[in-house]
Amino acid sequence: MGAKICVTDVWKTFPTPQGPLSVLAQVDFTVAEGEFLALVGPSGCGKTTLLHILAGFDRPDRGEVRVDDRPIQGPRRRGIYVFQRGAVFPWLTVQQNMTLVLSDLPPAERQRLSDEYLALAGLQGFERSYPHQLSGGMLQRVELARALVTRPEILYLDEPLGALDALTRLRMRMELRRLLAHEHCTTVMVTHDVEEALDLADRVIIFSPRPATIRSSVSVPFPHPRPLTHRSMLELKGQILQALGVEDVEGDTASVRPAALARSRALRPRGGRASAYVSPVALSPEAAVSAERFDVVVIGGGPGGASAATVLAERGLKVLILERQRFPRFHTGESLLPALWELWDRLDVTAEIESAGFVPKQGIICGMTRSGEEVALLTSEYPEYFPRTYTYHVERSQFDQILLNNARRKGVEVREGWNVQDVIFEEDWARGVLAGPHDGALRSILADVVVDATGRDSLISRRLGWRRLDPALNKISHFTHFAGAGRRSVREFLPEQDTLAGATVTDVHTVDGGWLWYIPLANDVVSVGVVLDAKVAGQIRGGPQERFNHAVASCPKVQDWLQGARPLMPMQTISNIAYINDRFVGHGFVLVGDAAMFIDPIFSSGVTLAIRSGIFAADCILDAFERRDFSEGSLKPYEERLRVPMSRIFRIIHHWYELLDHGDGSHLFLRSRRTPLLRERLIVLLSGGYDKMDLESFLLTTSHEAE
Amino acid sequence: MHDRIRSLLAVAVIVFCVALWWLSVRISGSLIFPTPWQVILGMVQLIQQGLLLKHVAASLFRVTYGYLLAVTLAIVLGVLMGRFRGAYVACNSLVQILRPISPIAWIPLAILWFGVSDLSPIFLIFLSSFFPMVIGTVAGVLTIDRQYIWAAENFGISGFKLLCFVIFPGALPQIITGMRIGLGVAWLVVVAAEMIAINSGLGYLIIDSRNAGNRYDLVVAGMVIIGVIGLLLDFLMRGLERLDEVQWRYGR
Repeated sequence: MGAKICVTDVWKTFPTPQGPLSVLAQVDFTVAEGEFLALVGPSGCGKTTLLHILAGFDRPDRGEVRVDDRPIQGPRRRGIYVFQRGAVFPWLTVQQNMTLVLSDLPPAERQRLSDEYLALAGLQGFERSYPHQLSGGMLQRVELARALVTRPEILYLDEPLGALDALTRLRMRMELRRLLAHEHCTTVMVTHDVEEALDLADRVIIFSPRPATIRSSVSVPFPHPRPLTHRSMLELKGQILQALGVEDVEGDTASVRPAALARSRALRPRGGRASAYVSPVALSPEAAVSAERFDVVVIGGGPGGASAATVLAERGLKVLILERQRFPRFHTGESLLPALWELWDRLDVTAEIESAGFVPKQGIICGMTRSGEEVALLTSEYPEYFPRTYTYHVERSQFDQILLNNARRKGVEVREGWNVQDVIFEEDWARGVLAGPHDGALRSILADVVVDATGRDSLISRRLGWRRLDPALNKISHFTHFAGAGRRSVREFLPEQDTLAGATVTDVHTVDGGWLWYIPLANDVVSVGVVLDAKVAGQIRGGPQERFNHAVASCPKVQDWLQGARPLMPMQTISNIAYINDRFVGHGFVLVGDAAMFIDPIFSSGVTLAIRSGIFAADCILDAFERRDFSEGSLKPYEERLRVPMSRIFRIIHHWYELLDHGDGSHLFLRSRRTPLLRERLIVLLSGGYDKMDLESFLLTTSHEAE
Repeated sequence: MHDRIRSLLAVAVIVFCVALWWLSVRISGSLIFPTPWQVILGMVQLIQQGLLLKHVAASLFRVTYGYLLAVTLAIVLGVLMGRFRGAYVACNSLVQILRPISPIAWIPLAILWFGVSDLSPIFLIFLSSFFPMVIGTVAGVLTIDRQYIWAAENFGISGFKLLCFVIFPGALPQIITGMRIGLGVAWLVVVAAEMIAINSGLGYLIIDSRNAGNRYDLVVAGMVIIGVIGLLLDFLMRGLERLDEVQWRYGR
C-alpha cells in the first residue's frame, strides 16, 4: 500500500485587515491507500483550510500536495469533499441530486446507481423529497450517498457530523462506518471530537492551535466496533487530549490545570438533549437469543451500585454488577455521616462496618482561619435524630469492598474488571448492556432495568446530554494522605464519658480561595485536601503541590499538624464541578449516586447520597417489578423522592459558598453558637439528616442569619 | 377563529373608510366628487358599454409584452453579471446610473422614438421592471453559498450545466423577489404611460373621463379597478414563491 496522498511542507497565510494570518505552518504527512485518517485540533486552527487544499479548493503558499504522486490542480471527482454544513442542492429532490452528479452516465445507469446508493443509505421512499423536508441526519445520509455514488477514490470529510444533535450524531457515526466499510475509499476527516476520531479512524493526527502544525500522530489499532470505554482506548484518548493541551476535565487525572478548567465549557453534546441514543452495536435478534439475561444490571460497584443491587437481590431478583476496576481500589470521600446507620441496617451490613476498625467521627469542627475561631458541631448535641451519634472516617478502598462483598453475599453476581462499552437501546428503551472483560470479547447482557452507577463517568447521562453543570460550583481539589501528622481527640470538646475510644472529628477550615478538609484515618494516616475555586486556583502559580501548599499555608493550625508529616502518595487532583441531571430515569433505566448528580464535597454528603439513592432506586425498581412496568413513568417516583432534597442541598451549598466569598464567611457557624434553632438544623444537616428536617426552614434561618 | 377575526377586522376598516368617504361627500355637499354608490353605478355603466373589458385588456396586453421582455433580458444579464467578473464590471455602473431614473422621465423620448403607439408604453414598462430584476438576479447569483459551487465543481459540473442546475436555481428565490417588485412597478407605470401617449387602457380611461366631462365617478371606478388588478397580479406572483424548488429559501 503506497502513499495515496502526500503532503509536503505545506504553509498557508491569509491576508486580513490586521495583517497576515498564518494558518498552516510546515505540515507534512502522508495518507496510505485505503487509510482512514482523522485530523484533530482546536476549533479554528486551520484544519478546514488544510482539507480545502487537499481537495483542491485552495492552494498552499508553499509546499505541495500530491495525490497518486501527481500534484493536484483544482477539485476533481476522484476526491469528493463533504462539507460541514452540507452541500446537497436544496432546489433539487434527493433523486435529482443523485442523478445530477452522475450526468455523464446513460439515464438507465444513473437511475440504477442512484437507487442502489439511496437504498444503501436507507433513504428509500424519500427520492422525491426536497432536502428541506428531511431531518439533519437524513440530509447527512444524502450527502454521503451523493459523494459515494460517484465512486470516489478519496473522501474528504469536514466535521461530517458536526451539525447534528447528540442522538443523530451517534447514530450517524455508526452509519458512516457502515457506508465507508462498503466502499474502501481513502478518507481524511477533520473533527474536533476526539471520541469520534477514535471510533472511526485508523490514525489520528493532532494539530496545534493556529498556525496549525502537527503535534503528534496516534495509531488506533482496534477492530470495529471499538470498545470506547476500554482502558486502552481511554489511554489513547488521554494521549490525544494531552497532545491537544486539554486534560479530560471530568476525569480523575492528577494534573488538571485549573486555568484550563475555569475556561472550559460544559462537556455536552452539541444540539441539545436526547431522550435516548442508539448504541454502536444494535441488538440483533440473534444476539438477543444468545445473550445472558438478568432482571437488573448495575453498572458500577461503588456504594450506590452495591446498595441498589443488595436491596434488589434480597428480594430475590437476579442482579448483576459490572465493575470496571478490581476492588479494593483507592477512592476519595472518607468522611461519613451518622445518617448512614439506618441505611446500613437496611443493607444488613452494620455489624461488619462496626468491626472493621474504622476511626469513629463524632462531629465536625469548623475553623475560621481569619478570626482564629473554631466552632464544634457534634451530633451528640441532638441525639434524638440518629440511632447513634457518631459515624466513621473510612478508607474507601476497604469500605467500598465491604459493601460490594455484602452485595455478593446477598446473591448479587459481581464481575470485576468488566468494561461496559454501551447501554443497548431499542428506540428509547434501555434493554441491557454491551460489555466484556478487559481484553475479552464484548457480549450483550439483557435486563429489564439498567442501573447506571458509574459515578462521575455517568455513562448514560453524558451520552444523552442530560448533565447540567453548575458553573458557580466549579471547584478543584488537591488531596493526599499523610503519615505522622497531628490529630486531635474529640475530648477537646466532649467530656470523657461521652467519647469513644480513638474518636476524632472532621476538621473543615477556611483557607485562601476555599476550604480544606482534615480527616484522620486509622493507622496514623490523615487525609488532607484543599477545595479551591477553579478560577482562584488558576491564579496560583505552580502545580497541584504548590496550590495545596499555598492553601495550607493560610491555615496555621493545619500547617502545624502537618509539620514533619510524610505524604503517602503523590498529590491527587479532582475537578469537583457540580452537576445535576435533567432526569434521573428513563424507560428501563435509572441513574444512581454521582451518575445522577454530584454536589460538592463540603458537607461530606457523597457516600450518604449515593447509598440513599441506591436504596431509593431499588425500592422503586421493586415496585416496577410488581407491576412489570419499567417505563419512565413507573420509575419516576424514585426521581421525585430524590430530587426535592437534592435541589435544596444544592441551594444550601450555594449559600455556603456565598457566605465564604464574603470573607470569613462561615460566620453562619459562628452564629450557630448563639442561635439554638440554627445550630440544631445545621447539625442535623451536617449529619446527613436530609429527610429529618424541613430544609426550606433551614434556608430561611440561614438567610435571616446572614442579614 | 383568529383568522376569521382578522379578516373581519380588515373588512371593517375598508367599510369604515368607504363610510367616511360617503359621509364626507354628503357633508361637504360636493357635486363633482362621487359617492361610493355613484362609483359603482359608473362601473356598471362601463361594463355594460364593454369599455371596461377593452381598457383592461389593452393595459394587460402592454404589461405582458414589456414585462416578459424585461424578465428574459434581466435574468440573462443578471446571471452573466453575477457569474462573470468582467460582465459585472462592464455593466454595473451603467445599470446603477439608469436605475434611479423614473420611467416617467423617459416618456418624451419614448414618444419621440416610438410615437403614439403600443410600443411606447411597452418600452416604458420594460425599462421600469428591467432594473429591479437585474439587481435581484445579480444579488441572487452572488449570494449563492460558495459551497454549492464548490460541490458542483467537485462533481465536475461546469459550463451550461452549472448555470442551469446550480446557478439559476440557486438564485431563483431572489430572482422571484425581483420579478414581484418588477411586476408591481410595471403596473404602476402602465397607467402613467397610457395617460400620455395612447388612447386606450386604464390610464387613458381615467384621464379621458376627467377631460371629457368631469366624470369623476368613472375616474374613481378606474382607480378601484387598477387597485384590484394589481392585487391579483401580486397574488399570482406569490404563487411562484410556493414552488417546491424555492421552498428551501422561503420555507425557512
